[in-house]
Amino acid sequence: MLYTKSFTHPNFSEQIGVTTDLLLSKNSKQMVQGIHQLRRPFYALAIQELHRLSNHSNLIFKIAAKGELDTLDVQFRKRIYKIRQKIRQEPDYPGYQLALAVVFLRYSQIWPHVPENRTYFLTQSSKILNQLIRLVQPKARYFYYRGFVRKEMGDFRGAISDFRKILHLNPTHWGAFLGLLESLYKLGEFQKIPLIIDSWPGVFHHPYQQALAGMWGKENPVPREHAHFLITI
Amino acid sequence: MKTNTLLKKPITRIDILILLIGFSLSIVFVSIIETPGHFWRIFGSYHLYLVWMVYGILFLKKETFYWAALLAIPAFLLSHYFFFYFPNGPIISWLRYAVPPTLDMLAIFGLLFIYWRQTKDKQISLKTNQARAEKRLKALQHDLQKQRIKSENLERLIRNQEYTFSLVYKIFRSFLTSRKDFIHALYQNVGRITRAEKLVIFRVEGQTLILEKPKNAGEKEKISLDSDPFLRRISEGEKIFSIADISKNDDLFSAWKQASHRGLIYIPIRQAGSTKYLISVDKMPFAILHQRTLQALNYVKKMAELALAITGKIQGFGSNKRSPWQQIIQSPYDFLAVVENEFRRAKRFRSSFSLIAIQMQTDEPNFPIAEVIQSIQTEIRELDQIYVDSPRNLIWIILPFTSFYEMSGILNRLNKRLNYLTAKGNENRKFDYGFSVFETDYESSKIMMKQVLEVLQIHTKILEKMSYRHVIHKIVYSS
Repeated sequence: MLYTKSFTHPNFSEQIGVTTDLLLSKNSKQMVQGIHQLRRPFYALAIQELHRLSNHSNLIFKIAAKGELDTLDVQFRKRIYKIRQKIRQEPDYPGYQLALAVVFLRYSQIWPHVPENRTYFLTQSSKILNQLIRLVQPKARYFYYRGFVRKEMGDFRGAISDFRKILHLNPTHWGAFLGLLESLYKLGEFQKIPLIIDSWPGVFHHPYQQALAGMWGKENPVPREHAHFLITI
Repeated sequence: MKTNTLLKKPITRIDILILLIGFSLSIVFVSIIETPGHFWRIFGSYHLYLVWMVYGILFLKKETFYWAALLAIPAFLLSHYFFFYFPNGPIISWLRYAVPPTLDMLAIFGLLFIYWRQTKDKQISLKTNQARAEKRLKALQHDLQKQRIKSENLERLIRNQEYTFSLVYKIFRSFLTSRKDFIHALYQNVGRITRAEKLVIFRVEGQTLILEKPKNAGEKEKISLDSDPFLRRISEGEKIFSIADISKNDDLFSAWKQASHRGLIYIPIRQAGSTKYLISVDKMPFAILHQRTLQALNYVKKMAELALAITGKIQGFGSNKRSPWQQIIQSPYDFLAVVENEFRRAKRFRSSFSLIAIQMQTDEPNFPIAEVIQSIQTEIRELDQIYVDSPRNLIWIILPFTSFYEMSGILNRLNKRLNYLTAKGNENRKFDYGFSVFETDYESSKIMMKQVLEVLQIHTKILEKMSYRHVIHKIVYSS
């Protein structure tokens, strides 16, 4: 999952809240509107939801979800085509290479049901990022995206090494921190997660961050929210 | 504004003019008496100075003007001496003719200087006032911003509260009204909240866990708790255990590693002091495994236990049907009260509800109303209610928590039944339909209120004929 760009968006959580409200509503029009909103901001869970909805028994929801997935596909294809054209014009400029790698990483995320496509695009993006790191310049950004690519490919140890590099340079990098935690979780090393969360030098501002720290951390007990709810029951 | 202690009244330009004229007249008077020849020289130079001062006030900067005016006085003295008395002139006569105008000039300069200071004070005070006002504005804006953030947070809190409440109510309803079974509802709810890729539900029978759902998944069908202390401990407890809690305790974590079924979240569902079901979420994304999800799971657990406690007496969910006498509303004011209640409920949980009216047109003396109601009862759901409005040959059906699409489905089914009844009966027998859907979203509760009031007004008209006026007034004005 790529939280990097989406978490910088100011109304990210609100937007997701609105879409979830729409998707849970009984009114079919609102539900369809929610499906249309799922595409933006782009994150893996929303795409999974779209895939789930594309097998819905109701034809309206099915068509809406499939349409959204199709538009995503077309958008990504267009973007890849444009970046490739740019690369043809300026083959030595590393920015376009990085853009291609990132778009491949994102494009791989809309193929959870076709593992061949997924692995193909992931390997392509990892190839480009390795080239950038070895031949051009070992920038932190390249390591960051390579970490995500490795995590998606299942190379969690490699992903951890990449994320650690970024955290060594910038200890309060939230995306790398989350990536590190997730790859540890995938490896099954649950006991390391609270240690890392407790040694986090940054501050947990976002409610999502607070919820995560409250769950996993030893030293960050967050007061229970929705306690008023128990009174109403 | 500061005021001078010597001059309590602030000096104005007119005062200066009067003083200036007075001084010049006194000089004229003195010098004419002394030496009328010499007077014109001094008068000329003195007025040159005045003209220069006027020019300076008009065109120079204030500070430069005052410095220049101050320097002009010795310049006047020196120039007067050099032009008229140097080298052989008597110094006493020079002092006699030059000092009074210099004193005059100094006095004028002093007055102008005081005037300047006063205006400066005024300007400064104005500036400070402006700065203070700006500061105050900024502070006000800051306070406003704070208040706005506070109110936004409060709004969000309320929204979240309402949202969670409606969500929990939906979960509860799903347990009660699920067509299939309790396990299915549990599976769906937990799966939806945790986004689980793998989810297993066990039934606890004595010292064994028996796989309930999903079947044919390659899981162990029976796990004995005697050989597994970890699972025994969890199934005996009331708490939900997540891997985050387990990993914090070293002993528990080592026990978890040796357990025969390793899950990320264990949810025991209890009934009458003992666990009946044990849910284990085996695979789920990391991003979802946080405190809020656990809270939601707590609500699910609570609702499931409540549903179990309610339906445990009736023995299972299959036989949770309403008896027909409960489904039919007996009196018109009960009907109105139910409609009003539905409206309130829909508004509270932000859901929708529908009303269907069926009109019967017949000439038959022995019209089989019982048969019609029975056929309707077979088609509607368990929580729906019927009211027979016999003076107008109407049957009202109240459908709580139903949108247009669900209502249309029910109406289609009813249509088939009633078509059959029309075909079966007399030629004059006829059924007409009417329906109204009260749908809400976050903004349109006002519209809904209007709709309900319209319906109630129609009913008042009907019931006025039936002389239930006092009841209607009560209902309408209470809503």
